[in-house]
Amino acid sequence: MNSVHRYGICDLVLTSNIALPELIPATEGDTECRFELLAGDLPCADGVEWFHQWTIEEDGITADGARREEPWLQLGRSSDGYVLRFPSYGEFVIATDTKSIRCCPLPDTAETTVRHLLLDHVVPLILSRREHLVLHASAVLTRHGAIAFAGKSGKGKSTLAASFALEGFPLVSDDYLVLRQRQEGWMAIPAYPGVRLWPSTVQAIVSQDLPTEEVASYTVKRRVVDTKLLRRTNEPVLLRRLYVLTEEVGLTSIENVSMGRSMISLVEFAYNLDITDRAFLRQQFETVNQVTKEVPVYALHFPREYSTLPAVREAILQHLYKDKDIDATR
Amino acid sequence: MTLHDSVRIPDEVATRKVGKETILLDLNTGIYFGLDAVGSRFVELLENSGEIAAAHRVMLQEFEVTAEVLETDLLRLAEEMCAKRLLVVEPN
Repeated sequence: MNSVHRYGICDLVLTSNIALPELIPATEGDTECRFELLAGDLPCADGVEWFHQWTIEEDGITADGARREEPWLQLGRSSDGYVLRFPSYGEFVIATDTKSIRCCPLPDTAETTVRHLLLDHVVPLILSRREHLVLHASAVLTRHGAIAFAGKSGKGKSTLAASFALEGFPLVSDDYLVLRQRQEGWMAIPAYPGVRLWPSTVQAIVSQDLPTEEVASYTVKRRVVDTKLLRRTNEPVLLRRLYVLTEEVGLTSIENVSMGRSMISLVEFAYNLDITDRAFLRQQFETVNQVTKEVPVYALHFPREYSTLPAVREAILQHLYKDKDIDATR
Repeated sequence: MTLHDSVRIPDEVATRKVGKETILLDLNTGIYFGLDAVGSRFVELLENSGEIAAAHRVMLQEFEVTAEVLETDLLRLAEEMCAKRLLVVEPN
């Protein structure tokens, strides 16, 4: 537990006292964030003031007939910084300056689960404090720049991104997307290799036996990391469009979204570690306004059937390539 | 609430006009609200004068609507915004 590993994730140089095989080792750059997995029986934080929680609906119905909503993640503040408590798995404490993360897992929590919570839930929240904007979205690179798919969990972000990637469009990110403003526009910053897919999706859209890895103990989702099959880009790329995914029975359609609706969509899918920080909220408000002016947002309605994915991809590409405003030399 | 009330957008609410719409952010809750073109114009006029009656006068010239219908619509919107703390009534 005393060895130190160095990795890159979304341009962040992360050191860790455990191996994080999902990430690419970092060969240069100063450490920007330090992760430490502590022994399971140590208390992580005292005197926590809880200010927010995320819930997920359980499948079961309680004895009184009500649908039970279990807290999935509780967010709080202590003298040590922000506290993220996953009631079933453990706690993460993030220093206020986001330069360190400590994790105290519950005794039965597998290290795979800790890594997943760190990389796919804690890191995007940390990045939301460091970067201009972090969205709940997946993205791929086309010859005209990156296109991103935003949506609630289960709406098909990863499936659509993987579907494009399998056709040779390099993957930029899966599930969360860091946006950074540059002179040329809003850049999508690559996250780390692989996508997380349901087993049925792996079976349906991949035409060969693909080695996959466990994501976490509590989900049957599989991590697909074959970088030859799913190419990825390592460089920041210009974000051309954002599609908000909605399920539809029948035809695929792409609908213009008003600027106001675009702004609300971006906020809906934006990560935010501290919703009580007014200065941050005001800053995020301005950022979202800027992104809305520069990146067109569309509603993508499509049927959730694997057999229609080629037609959905084609509709998106036709929609992208016919845009006269896109410089075809890019 | 009547046309003669004065209202203002509290400091805890940020507004931004995007196209014909206006987006409001309640900094106390982090909740965003959207207003269509009519609501957007109403808020724009309130930001200038704070008087519902003044907004009513201007909008009566700009929209094809009767004075009574516009008054009903504006007061309903103002009350709804007050209920959500996006507007506060100024004491006379």
